[in-house]
Amino acid sequence: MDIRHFLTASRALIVAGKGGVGKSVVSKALATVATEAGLSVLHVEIDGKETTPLPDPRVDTLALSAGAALGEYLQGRGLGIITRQLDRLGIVDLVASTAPGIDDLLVLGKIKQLVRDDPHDVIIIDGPAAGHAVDLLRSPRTLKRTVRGGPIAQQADDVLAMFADPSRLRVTLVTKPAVTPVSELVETAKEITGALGLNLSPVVVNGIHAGVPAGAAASTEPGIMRAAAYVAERHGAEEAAIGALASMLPGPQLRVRHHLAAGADLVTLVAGDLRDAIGGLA
Amino acid sequence: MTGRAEDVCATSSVIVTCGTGGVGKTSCAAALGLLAAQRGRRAVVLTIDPARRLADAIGLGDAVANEPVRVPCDAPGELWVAMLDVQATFDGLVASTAASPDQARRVLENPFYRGLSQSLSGTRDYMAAERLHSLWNDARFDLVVVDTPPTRSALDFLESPERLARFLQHPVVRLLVAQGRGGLRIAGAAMQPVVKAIGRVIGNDALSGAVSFLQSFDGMETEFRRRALAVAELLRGDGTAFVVVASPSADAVAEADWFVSELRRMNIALRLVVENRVPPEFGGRVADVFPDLVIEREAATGVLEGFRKRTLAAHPGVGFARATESASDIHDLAGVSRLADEIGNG
Repeated sequence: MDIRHFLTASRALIVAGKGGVGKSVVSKALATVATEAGLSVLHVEIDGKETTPLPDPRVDTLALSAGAALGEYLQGRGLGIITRQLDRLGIVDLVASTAPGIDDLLVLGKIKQLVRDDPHDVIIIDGPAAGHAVDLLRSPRTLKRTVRGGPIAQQADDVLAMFADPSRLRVTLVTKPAVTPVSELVETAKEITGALGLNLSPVVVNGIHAGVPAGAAASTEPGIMRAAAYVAERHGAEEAAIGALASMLPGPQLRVRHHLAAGADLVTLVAGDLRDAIGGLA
Repeated sequence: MTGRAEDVCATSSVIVTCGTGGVGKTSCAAALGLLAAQRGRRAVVLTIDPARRLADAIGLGDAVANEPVRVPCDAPGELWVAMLDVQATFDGLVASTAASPDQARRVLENPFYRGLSQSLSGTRDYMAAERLHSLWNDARFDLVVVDTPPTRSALDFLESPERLARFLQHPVVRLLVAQGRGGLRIAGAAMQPVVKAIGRVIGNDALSGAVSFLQSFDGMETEFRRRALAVAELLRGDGTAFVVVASPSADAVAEADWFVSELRRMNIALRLVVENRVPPEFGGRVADVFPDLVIEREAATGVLEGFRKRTLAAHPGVGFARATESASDIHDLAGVSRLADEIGNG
């Protein structure tokens, strides 16, 4: 598939996955792939702690945080007169407790604005860590149970409308080729496509190890034999997990190899694999 | 008290495991529970992770729920596992602290309460603390192992009981309660514009839902606070051991460093570090055919060496245990058992 076509099928992509699967690296690699294909890219990080730098300086970045979004919203909505008191009195916390999920919804509201107004060709969003990504995406539905009218309910409806529109937003789920992360990915996929009405982009299977190289199997050197047995078992387990994913969640997968690099170098290598994988999609 | 895994499992009444995602924290929590069971203790492993990791880690599937389930294993003691159900725990807490069944019903049926108990991540932390406390009080168990969420917010759960107490004490909250009773306008005059503005922001129906919740809740906060303080005391007591699980990638060690320094800041002694998923050493001429395996092993050893030094400087009494990366991820009791052997051997 044409890379530009793949990456612009939606205005924005949210990259989500449990901790340790390489979600942030994959989101940055996707931004790199898009930039190299000549697209202008905005990379958005939610509640992130900057660890991996972007290898391509042409990618623009933006950081969103739930707490800041709520504080800003309150200031813009008539609580501005008592701005100085907001922190001192713990008003931000109070509102967050009175309307649980309101801060997450406001982050999604910001994403909705970006999807509508931002001049970049594509927006790639590095979702919050682990289980919190699902909390974030759940927030409009949760809030609608407690807030039935007013600006927040309207915001929740608008965000749900964006969820249902694949030309505006899709979710890229990332996993490692292992039993537990795969079963969690499938569970997450069911929830966000079912109750929340979101659309998925092909899943990314990250960190796939190579099998035993030809010739090594014949070696009788004890160290090599032990290592070959280990590598073969690992390869078999990964293949089984990838197969299980394909049967539980049919559809194309983008496969990324395990790389020894770290930081920006790793992003570049992952970007190369993603480019090949996207190019190979039907 | 030493920091050897065996001693930690033999003497503690609570073990709290901290670590970022992907380090195998849940498997380690289960392994520590199993180590205790092998020493004749009755251990329950509680996971507060929103995902169903524990069930997968020990191959129990859907059998694990809020109520502890006994895991059949060959040990003189017992191994039980439970998964936190925030809603059920909160409902139970409301039922046991309400002055009357009628008050409990009013709180449980309030839409604001339903929202609060289902969504707020702070609530999840707090209910984890509450659940930990009730399992600790449960005569069936000698040891509770708590597997915290795989994020930085894991340590929020230590402070969550106090946070809820603070919320209930908040002047605006007190005003809302008083207002619902139709009084105290003068006392709360300074807060009036705040209340009005909050109503404008989140909508008046949400505000009145919150107000009626706080009214129906009125009187229960004393008992809530008492229990919150009891949990806080338990977590800081001598019987509670904190364990950090780390794996030797740069990211995971950076996160582990953060946990180590946060515990130090909170004046909590770290008892044990489990260095998990360390690439195995094969020896011989493995480098001829699998150079990556050797490079990874050496990189891991270097990263962990620095981490040990920093951790020892912050927590002089801490012990270390090391477990190698298995070829496939742990998803049955046999895998947990192998991990327990490695951790037990130091």
